[in-house]
Amino acid sequence: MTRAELEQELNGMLAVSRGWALAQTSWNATEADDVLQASVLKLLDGRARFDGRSSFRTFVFGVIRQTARERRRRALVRSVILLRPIARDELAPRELAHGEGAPDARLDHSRESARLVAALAQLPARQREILHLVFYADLTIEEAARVAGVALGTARTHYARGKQKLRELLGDLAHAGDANV
Amino acid sequence: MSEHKDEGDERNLRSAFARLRNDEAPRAPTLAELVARANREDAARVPRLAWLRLALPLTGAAMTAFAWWISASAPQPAPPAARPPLIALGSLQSPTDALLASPLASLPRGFSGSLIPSPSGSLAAPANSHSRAVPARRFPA
Repeated sequence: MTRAELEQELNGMLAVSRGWALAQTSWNATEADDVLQASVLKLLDGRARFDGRSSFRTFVFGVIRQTARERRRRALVRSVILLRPIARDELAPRELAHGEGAPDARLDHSRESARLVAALAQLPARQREILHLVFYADLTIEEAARVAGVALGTARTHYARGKQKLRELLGDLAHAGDANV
Repeated sequence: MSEHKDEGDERNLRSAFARLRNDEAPRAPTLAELVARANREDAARVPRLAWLRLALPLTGAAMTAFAWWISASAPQPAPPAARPPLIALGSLQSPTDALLASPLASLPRGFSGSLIPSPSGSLAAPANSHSRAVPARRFPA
């Protein structure tokens, strides 16, 4: 793949890649932009090289996921060395998985989108990842499993359970929203 | 019936995610913007670390000079004085002379007692030694 082809491919999937970076950073837009930028630079300068073993989309999503993990790990190490309490954002998304966090507060979403993001934040990380990759990024469950680094059967289980839980949460949130109105 | 419900749920989820994607789409940067931002950050990072290029050699030179000064100003230890040997080897003519010069030569011939001196200063003879004193003979009255 030449540099021009690589840039063209990347340009075509930046929007959906940013969505994946947002999902990896608990919808923290600043952190997501940093992750996306670091990932794109890795791809452009050859630190992450596409070898054609998977589709380009799954490869790019894998790089973004890895980059987000590295940044979280670095933030954790820095906090231990400097003996300062770690910010919730820096441990995203796992620590926010079952928390009461409202990541949508940082973004200017429509009401329905904000409700979806709040519901996603309450799912376990794996389920959230699989659902995001399937519904937001339009990957198949098999591709999502490859990106998330789990077996296909495991991904199917996460998909089914996540969908069920999300449906319940969206129902609860809808009722809560109606009550607030 | 349940399959229809699942399909409906899935459709609803897909449309909810599509709405979220559409909300986010305008905020996505272009590749050129990302690269330009990275270049700006690199340019800002260089002057911040430039002092290191000067500070590291200067620190190294200062530490070398300090170590040299410490070693130069410390008092030099005096060379150890030569001690005479316990026995002047040059004065002995033969191995017999060496034996005669040793303290063992002053022991009585056939001595087999202890070489550890007693509190009185004499060398004690063991109980079964031949040099034990013979008890005085008793004569009939």
